[in-house]
Order: sequence, then structure tokens, then C-alpha cells
Amino acid sequence: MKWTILDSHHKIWVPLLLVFIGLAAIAPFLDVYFLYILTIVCLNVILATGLNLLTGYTGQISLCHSGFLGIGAYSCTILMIRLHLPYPLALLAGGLIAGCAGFLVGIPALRLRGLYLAMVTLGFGEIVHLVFHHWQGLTGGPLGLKVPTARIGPVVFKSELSLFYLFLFVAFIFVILARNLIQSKIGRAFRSIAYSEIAAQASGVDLARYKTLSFALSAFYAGIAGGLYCQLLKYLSPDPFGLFESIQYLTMIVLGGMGSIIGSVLGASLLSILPEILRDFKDYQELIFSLLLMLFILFMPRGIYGMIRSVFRF
Amino acid sequence: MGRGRIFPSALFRKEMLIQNLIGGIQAGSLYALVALGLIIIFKATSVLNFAYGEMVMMGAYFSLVFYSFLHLPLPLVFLFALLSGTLLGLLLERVICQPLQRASPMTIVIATVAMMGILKSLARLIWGPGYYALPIFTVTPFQFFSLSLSGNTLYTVLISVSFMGLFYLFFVFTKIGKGMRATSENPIAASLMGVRIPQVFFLTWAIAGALAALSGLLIAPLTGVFPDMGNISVKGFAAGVLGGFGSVPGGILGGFFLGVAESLAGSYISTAFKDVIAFLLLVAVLIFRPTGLFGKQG
Repeated sequence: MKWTILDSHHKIWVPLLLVFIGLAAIAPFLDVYFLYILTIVCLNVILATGLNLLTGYTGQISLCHSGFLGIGAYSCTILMIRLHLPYPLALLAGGLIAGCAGFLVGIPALRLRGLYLAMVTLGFGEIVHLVFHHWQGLTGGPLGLKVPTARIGPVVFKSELSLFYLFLFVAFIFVILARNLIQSKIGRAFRSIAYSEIAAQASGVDLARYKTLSFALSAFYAGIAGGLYCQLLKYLSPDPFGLFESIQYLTMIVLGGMGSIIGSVLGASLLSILPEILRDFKDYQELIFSLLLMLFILFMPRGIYGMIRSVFRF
Repeated sequence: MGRGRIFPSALFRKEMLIQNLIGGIQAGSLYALVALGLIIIFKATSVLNFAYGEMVMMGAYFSLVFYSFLHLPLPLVFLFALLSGTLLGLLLERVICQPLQRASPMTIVIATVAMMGILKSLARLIWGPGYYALPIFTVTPFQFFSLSLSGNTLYTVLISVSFMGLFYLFFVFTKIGKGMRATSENPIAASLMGVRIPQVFFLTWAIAGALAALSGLLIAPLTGVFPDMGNISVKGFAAGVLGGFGSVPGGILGGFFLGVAESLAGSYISTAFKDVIAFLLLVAVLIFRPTGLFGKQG
């Protein structure tokens, strides 16, 4: 099977804007539970879009995205506690620190591909997870850290509604950003690397630069998501940043559609809502997720969005 | 003896070092066994099997069923555990390896990662999330001069080393083993020479499945049986990578190296470091010497 990339439509941002306005309009009338699920959807949309930039568009696998998410979450929280940084600054700094980590992981990607890269990212993710556990002076270890409530100017993000608006806004910005990015020179370079590294290099694409850039960008997305996530968690512990979570993010983009922004949004939404539907079968959740991943990669490697597109031929 | 009384701390240190080395060799023999299974599959079929640790875990559960639930005698436990491991390997060959023969590495990685989740959650559903003890070996220590070896250590090392020896003989001297090695060098040339490639793939996964079950059986008395015990495969990756991930002797050496390094780091640096060192070595070797510590600089 050739790794195909689904081009995102030029006009995706009109429907996105409609969804954004629609969600913002109905949010005050939703109950807390629905609001919480939608907030998680926004969070996962940011993460999946970032991961898709790396895995879907540039063709580099990452099994450590929950590590980047954790780096963002811990950096943001620690900067707020220790240095009393205002939340927007801490959020941005968390994203940048995660981006730097992504850059570092991207360096070996210049020499390694495929299976070996998967191993490096797996190892890196495990190291990060262990550091969260053992560096108790900084991260509080398994006991965790209490996350200070975010405030931007006079607005305090304490209620579910205010948090949802924050997440929705950031998700919207980052999806539009990704869409613009992949239609720029950088995006074309990413896609050419996924098709053929040799051809990309022959056409003058600087592999070293664009591969590390892709890793850094993708990790930056995850880091920003982490900075938001810590606000939702209220209490930060190393648990939600393990290998299983990284696999879950990978499942999102495989399910939605590799190399497509709409695919990331679809996959992230579906996999965030699915656990809530399967609430009564909590024990079977991991099994169902893994089975979905297996079935999609074997039989529908272009994901849901790819399927929709081939049915409607657009 | 006299020196011991004069320098008790020095003797104590020396004994501690030896005990550490023995512990390292025991863990290392298990890592080497896991690395061996991973490398055999990788060499013959170019599949990096992220679900291998879960095959090990299933092997441990199979042994648990035969030993603690059905109360079979030990030789039969070994036999049946290895047989069920072989069957599992064959099943996975059908599910993962065959449909994905021409797939990109990324697809294969994702498929084996999915299989990892499936096996792990199945084990959790069938046997629950808890620990089971599997005391198949006696723990009464054997005294060798001043150091004591537990029966566990002795049997683990003996059995794993003798199985590695068996595989060496198999690969070097039997016709099938030679065919498998030829396939890993160049599948097309091997098939032109009359090696039946599908048969080789089939056998490779069968052997790797049996090896996984054996590893599970030997690891279980040390760690207990639990759904997450498959995480040992990461140590197997690290061991394989230390040896360049393409050479069987390299992987085995890498396993022992890793076991000893972990054990020494755990007692001389900090216990936290013991967990991290495998991953640090994995990442560092892949970045600086992708051909492995013992491989040629490429």
C-alpha cells in the first residue's frame, strides 16, 4: 500500500468557522457533562492535528506524543507555580519547551527511518514518563502537582463554560494555522518528504531542516494542548502521559485520515466521544480501540475521511 | 579469610559487586532471550514486532494456567506453554505478517502496536488486572564458596543459555535454519535457490512464538504474572539495538550487557536510574552508533 496523502480542501475553513460559531453559540445551553466532552474533543483536535502534520504529512512516526503533551502540561504548571508567570505566557512557554524537545527527537530522525525511528520515539516517551515519576523535586512524582487556576486579565478560567471557550478558541486557531501551513512552501516540503525522501532532496528540499521543523511543530502543538490539558485536569500526575495514550493519538489520525486536517478533526472527535458512549463497557475500551486501529490500518488505511471522499468523489 | 577480617568493607563491596553481576547476568539472559525472538522475526520478515512483549506476557499466562490452575508437572508445563506460544505466533503471522507483506514500515508498526493493545486488553479481560505468583523454581539458595545463588537464578540462566545454544545449532547446521538465514540475507535469491519463503515466514513466527512463551515462563517467577509484563519487550529492543538489531549474537551480547549495566546502575547510582538506563542506552546508541555497540561502524 502506498502512503497516500489526502489534500485538504481550500475551503475547509468556511465549514470550520460555521462549526466554531455554532458550538460557541450553543455552549451556554449545554449541561456540564456535554461541555466536558466537547472540551476534550477540542483538546484532542489540537493534538491530532499536530500529530498529523508529522505522521500524516511528513511521514514520520511518533510514539511519544503523550510525552510532548506531558512536557507542555508540566512546563506550564511549574512555570505558573515557581515563577508566577501569567497563564498565556506559561502556555506559550510550555508549547515552546515541548517544541524544543520535538526538535531534539527530530535530530535522530535524520539518520533513522521507519522502524528505528519508532523505537527512538518509544524510548524517548518512556524516558519522559520516568522523569515525571522520579524527578520528585520538580514534578511532585506520583503524588502530582496542584495546577493553579488560569486567569487572563480579569477572566478567571474556573467554570466549565469558560474553559470550553478557551479550548475551542485555541483549537480553532491551531486548525486554521495547520491548514495554512500545509498549503505553504513548508507544507509542500513536508508532503514531498512523505512521498519520497530522495525525490524531495533532489528537488531542493532541505531534509534536515524540514524533518526537524516538522517534529518541532508537531511537539509544539502537543505542548500547547498540554498547557490546556493541565487546566482541565486540575491535578497533574504522570499517569495520563504513557505509551497507551500515544497509541490513542495515533489511532485518532489513522481512523480519521492520515494527511488530512478534516481527518484529524473527525478522528479526534470520534475517539473522544466513543469512550463516553462505551462508558458501560469500560473494561472493553482498550480492546475496542486496538481493534479499530487494526481494522482501519488493514482495510481502510485512508481513514474515514478518505472513505467519504472516495464515495462522493470530491 | 584473614583478609576479610582485616578489610571487612572491602570484602563486602567485592561480594556486593559479584552479587550484582550475578543479578545482572540473570536479567541479561532474559533480555537476550527476548531480543533473540525480536531479531529472528525482524531478520526473516522485516517486521519489527511491537506485540512481542505481549506474546511473552501471554506465554507467562499460559504457564500460569498449566501450572497453577491445572496442576500439571513441570516438564508438561514447559511443553504445553511452548506449544501454545507457537500457536499464538502462527496466529499472529496470519493476522499481521501475511496481509502486510508489502506494506510500508509505518503501517506495520501501527498494526503490531494495535496487536499489542489487543493482546494486553484480552489478558486483562480474561485474567483480571492483578498479579499472580508463579513459583515454578525452588528458591533455596545454593552455596558456592562465599556467594549464594538462588535456584531461580541458576535455572533461568541455564535454561535460557541452553536454548540460545540450541538455536545457534539450528541456524548453523540444519537445512531449514540455513534456508531461514538465506531468506534474511536476500529473500529473492533464497527463493530462486529453492527456499520456500512462505514456509520460512511460518516457521520463523512459530519459533519466535515458542521463544516468547519460554521467556514468559522464565520471567514470571521473578516478576509475577500481570497484564503489563509485556513492557519487557522495550528492554529486548534496547538489547537488540545495542547489538545492531540485525545480528543474533549481537542481540544476545547486548542483552547481557544491558542486564549487567542495569544492575550496576541500580545499586551504585540510584534505583530510579535503573529504569531509565535501558531507554537512555537505546536512544543514545541509535543516535550515535546505529550499527550497534559491537557492530562495524557503517
